Amino acid sequence: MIPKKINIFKRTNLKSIIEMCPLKIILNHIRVFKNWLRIKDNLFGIIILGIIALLTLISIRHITTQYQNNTAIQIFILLFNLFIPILLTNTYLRAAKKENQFLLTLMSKSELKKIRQFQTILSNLFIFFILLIFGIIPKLTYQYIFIIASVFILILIVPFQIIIVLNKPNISKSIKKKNVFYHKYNFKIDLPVHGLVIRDILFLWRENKIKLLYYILFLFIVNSVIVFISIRNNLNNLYVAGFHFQAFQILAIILRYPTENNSKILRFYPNYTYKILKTEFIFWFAFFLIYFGLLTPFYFIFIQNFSLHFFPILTLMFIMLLMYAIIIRLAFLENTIIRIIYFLLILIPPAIPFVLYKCFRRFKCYSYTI
Amino acid sequence: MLQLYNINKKYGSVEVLRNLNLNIPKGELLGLIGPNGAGKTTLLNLILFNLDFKGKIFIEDTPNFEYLKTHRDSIVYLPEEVFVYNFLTGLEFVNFILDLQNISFKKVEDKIILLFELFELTKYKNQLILNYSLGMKRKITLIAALVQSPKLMLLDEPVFGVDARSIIVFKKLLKYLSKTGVTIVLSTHIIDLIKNLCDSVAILFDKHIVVYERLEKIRINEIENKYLDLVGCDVESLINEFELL
Repeated sequence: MIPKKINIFKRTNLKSIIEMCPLKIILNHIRVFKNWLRIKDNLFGIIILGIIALLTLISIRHITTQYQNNTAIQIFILLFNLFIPILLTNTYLRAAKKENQFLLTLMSKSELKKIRQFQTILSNLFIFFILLIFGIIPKLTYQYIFIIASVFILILIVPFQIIIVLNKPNISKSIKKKNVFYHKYNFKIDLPVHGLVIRDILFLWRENKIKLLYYILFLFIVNSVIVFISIRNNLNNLYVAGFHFQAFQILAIILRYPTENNSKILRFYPNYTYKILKTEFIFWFAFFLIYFGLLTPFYFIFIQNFSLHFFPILTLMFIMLLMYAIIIRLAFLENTIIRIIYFLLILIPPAIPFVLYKCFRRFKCYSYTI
Repeated sequence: MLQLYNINKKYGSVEVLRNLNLNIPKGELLGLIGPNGAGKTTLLNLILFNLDFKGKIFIEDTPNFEYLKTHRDSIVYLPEEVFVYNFLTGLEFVNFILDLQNISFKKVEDKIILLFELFELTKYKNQLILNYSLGMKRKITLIAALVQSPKLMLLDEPVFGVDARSIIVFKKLLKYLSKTGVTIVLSTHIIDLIKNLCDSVAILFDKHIVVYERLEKIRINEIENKYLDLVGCDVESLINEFELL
């Protein structure tokens, strides 16, 4: 059998990429988002997030304008301008991750890759220019050189961003493994509290091994940098800030950590809500104590003036935020973004009672809503 | 229409397919059965070149990777796991798929209305898919698949969770499409569906196709017996044992 000759480059030019409709997919995402906002909770969340983001940007602008001639501030502005578009684009790409499998039923992997690259470039540059045009970030000394360099960086970084969404898009084996895991650990729920904790640890390790190792590496680098700088300079505030930063990282894990296990348990056994709340609190607080228990000697060895004067306050603050985060985590099992939005409401203290009221109302009617 | 030669596929050290050969003529409606984990979904993904493999696959006498570059829109693949945009309405979802395939909505509008009617989704067409049941979600993907005009359809458990009336409608539509020359590979666990619908049956077992026969040549009851022989299960004696307990 002689295969027909076909021009294999037919679809690789720019015209065909546009024909293959990244813009159609973006338009569809806009439509999905518009429909998502039709739900009152989501609209409320986005408004709150928008207000918080705007207040943060205004305060950053205020601070940076005051110290505009400072080199360190200039570097900060530069990084901030790059960091925000990359962060937001990555969030967008992650949200579209499930869609990849579906799009692979309609197009080839290489086409999908091109479409995602195109979307990433577009999104990076769009957000970057929004930041510039609306003057959210003050001007730098070499503004034009900075803009051109940033555009280049934002285009060059695209392949790395794409790796996040396109690696292993189609491994059915892992899905099977996951199901076996869920069955094994979800439905044995007559376990005592420590059984639930073991389930969480196993889940964290078996499902997120690579992510966890990256996280440990990241925290190791952060601590090493803090120690390295603190040895050479007498910057006591730096390691205090480092401890706080890491405590917040734990809270971020709690909010972003998968909730499928709890969703399934609560669907069948809604009366387990408070038991899970208690378990999760014990687990994460123990995690906090063990983590800092291991970290403290490391600082103690290298930094001469090291003292733990800030630790009781940090622990108290952490306990409060931990309770708040775990309640939110269990109340809003369906969506990470919603969890983060509600957690950020802590920046507006009068909103906290309303959030808690909403959470406890959700706990009450779990058997109907999940 | 579709030829597979010496297909070998491994996931790491686990071998899923070994020296698999299959030749499906144009317009054939093939029922593909096999135990769980036999590699049916993998086989469909290999045809679509979504996974790497050893061997050769030809679609209309053209290697699949080349065919897919130019004729991707003449293949419809309906995966086992349903993906739908929860925050689109049923009509918007179908419209989006047509948009991606460069098919004008106006051209097939009558067809869409009829399909919504046939699958009893007319009154839900402007509701968000979020509010649909599992079966309704499956039906909306069936509509999106049937509204296109493909040459090859790869269907993986297409009627899972779908109500009886819609299964009857779906069977009739597949029969019609097959008569008009569309080649269809239907992967399913429901032997009755194959008996009533397909032109031929292929049993995938022990990493390759062990039986591939036209249904006229094989007695209908033989499919079940052959399948049970292959998977090595003496159902009668097990049921007798169960009755005794």
